[in-house]
Amino acid sequence: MEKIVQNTDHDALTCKLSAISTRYIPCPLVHKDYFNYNDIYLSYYQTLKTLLSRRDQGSINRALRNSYPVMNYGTYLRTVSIDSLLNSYLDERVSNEYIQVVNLGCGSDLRFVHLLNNFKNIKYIDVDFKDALELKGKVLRTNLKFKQALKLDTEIMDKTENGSQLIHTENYVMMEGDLKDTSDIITKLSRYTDTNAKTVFITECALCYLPDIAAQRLIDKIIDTFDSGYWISYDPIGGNQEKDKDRFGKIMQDNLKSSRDLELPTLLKYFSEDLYSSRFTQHTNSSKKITVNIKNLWEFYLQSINDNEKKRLQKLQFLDEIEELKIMQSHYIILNAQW
Amino acid sequence: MSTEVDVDVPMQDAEQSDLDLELELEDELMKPGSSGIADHKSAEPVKLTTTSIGQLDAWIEKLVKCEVLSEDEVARLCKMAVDVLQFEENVQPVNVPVTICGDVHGQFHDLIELFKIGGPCPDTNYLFMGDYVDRGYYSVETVSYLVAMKVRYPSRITILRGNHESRQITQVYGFYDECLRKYGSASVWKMFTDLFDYFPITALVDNQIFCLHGGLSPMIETVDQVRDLNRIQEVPHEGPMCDLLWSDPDDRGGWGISPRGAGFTFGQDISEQFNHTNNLSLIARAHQLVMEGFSWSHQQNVITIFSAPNYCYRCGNQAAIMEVDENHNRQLLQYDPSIRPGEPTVTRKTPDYFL
Ligand SMILES: C[S@@+](CC[C@H](N)C(=O)[O-])C[C@H]1O[C@@H](n2cnc3c(N)ncnc32)[C@H](O)[C@@H]1O
Ligand SMILES: [Mn+2]
Repeated sequence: MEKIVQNTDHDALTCKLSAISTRYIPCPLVHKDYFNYNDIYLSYYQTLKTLLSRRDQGSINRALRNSYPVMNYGTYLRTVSIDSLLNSYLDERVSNEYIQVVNLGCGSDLRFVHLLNNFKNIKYIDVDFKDALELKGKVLRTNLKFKQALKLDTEIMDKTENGSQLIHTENYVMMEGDLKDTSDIITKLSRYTDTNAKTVFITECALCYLPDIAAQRLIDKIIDTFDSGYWISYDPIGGNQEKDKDRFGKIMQDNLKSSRDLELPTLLKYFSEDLYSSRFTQHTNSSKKITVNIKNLWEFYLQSINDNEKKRLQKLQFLDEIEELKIMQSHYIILNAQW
Repeated sequence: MSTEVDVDVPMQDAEQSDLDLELELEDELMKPGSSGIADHKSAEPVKLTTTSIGQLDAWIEKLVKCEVLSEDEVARLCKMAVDVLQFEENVQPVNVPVTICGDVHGQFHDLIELFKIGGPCPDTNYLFMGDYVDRGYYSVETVSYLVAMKVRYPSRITILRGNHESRQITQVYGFYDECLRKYGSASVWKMFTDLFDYFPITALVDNQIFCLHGGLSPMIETVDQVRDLNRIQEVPHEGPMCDLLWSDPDDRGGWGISPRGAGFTFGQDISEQFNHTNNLSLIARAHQLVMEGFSWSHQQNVITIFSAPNYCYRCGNQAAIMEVDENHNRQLLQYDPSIRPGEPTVTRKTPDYFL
């Protein structure tokens, strides 16, 4: 079960590599200060490949070879929507404040490399299952580029995790844990972070794999524990079956269940933007004021991508499937919640 | 020094390698006619013989079970098809009654469902408006079947060309890869894409309904101007033939830039003018996914018909076909995906969702 969920990280990575190889990302605006964007992901993948089974390698390669424009567009929108929120939050604050960033269900995401490079005053915590982080740690250690960038020679040896592959430096920590085990997650977070400091939480396709109760507990506990925070979340939403006769979510759930036994427990429960954001606003047992913004990624495409950038994208591949892009992207949301 | 990923395009120096790749494709694959299926075209229409009918019936029987023909059989089928299609017109005349259908996109089982809904061919006449291949998992079976039916019942079924019936597009959207996977080489893909050059690009139902895959072109004011085009070629990147296969109707008036990167958008003023000039009652076209399977626009001057239900196995849309009877009454029939017990809806590994 855990393995099935962890494997979704291959999908996320494959999509990203594909969008990189077709030049959708890096985005010249949002990623203008991200050095060596392509190189970082490609190096990572090069090293990762040597550690994967032939079967996993094969399926990633196959997926990379036939990557459709709709998928590349979607990956672009996902990456750009998160990074632009992240950048503007950090840009405003980081010059005079210490900020922590926690990526919950980080998988192979390498945002920390750029953030640690671009902002001196931050600490970055990657959270995922132990296996997933060990693999990631192994890749980062094996690859010289990362070793230098992360200053792994200054690593702090963590007594509790002695001998494991998990990385722990002054400003980058790999924290293993099960997001369903809220109290363990909170205990560990309190160990690695300062709960009084401003903290950004990222859940990029992570909440969607958690059972309703576990996800809600995690959201509630984090908002309770951290004095001041900013949550960025990207997830699918199922759409309204009753009112709009929207079958997207139901079909998605059935497809993923039957083809790979993957479950999305909350897809149909929080099927709209309003319902999804209610998970952050319904938080009652604290006096904290929370502001939540949410839009679907189709709105994001229409409103936040300027004409020049749209033109740049159009030139990369023929996008024959514009209606399909609209359907897909109106079923993914980007949320930010500030407290 | 450069880091590479195992994809066709090395990711570093992408500029350079894209160029190499394009040149290579230009040379190797893109050359029209290299399959040889049109090397010995007949000078006049060929009548079906008992032998060829027997042969075609055997192929159709196989195909209807969703089994592919051998490479050699495809070659023979395509040669026969060239000799039918080369004599069709850019504006192929079609009589009523006829059932007009939109995109199928390799969803073979749904095509079989379509024939259940609309009635079996040749008892019912059919007009398909293109996009048989790409996206779905059974492009080879779908296009083989429709071409075999075309050769077997030339006056009962009309198959127009869609923007996906092209060498370039099929390399991005799946037909090319499917041919490689199912035949181990690109030769079947070459034969079919060479054949696509012969497909008619528009049809005219009883001088009243103008049927085509995409839409209108700023360079075409009359149906006669379509007749003057030289259609036997790869779909060009621009110009009238490209527009006919790529354009979309739009709520904004006049001509607009298409978000697809090819063709144009056209407004109601354009459609009204075109229908008026050419004495038409309707433009029927496909090309766009519409949730109900059909969608009227421009105050009933244009209809979009889309015949791939639950497009790409995930969009949740209905499909539709339009029956036009002897008295020009129109009836729209909607349908859902065929239920195939025991068969997974998604069969390949590529991520179809953002996970
Ligand atoms: C689809 S991947 C997304 C990875 C990354 N956020 C990205 O978008 O590139 C989901 C990740 O969440 C992690 N995950 C899911 N459920 C988890 C749980 N209960 N505890 C810890 N990690 C979890 C998986 O291991 C996987 O790496
Ligand atoms: Mn089309």
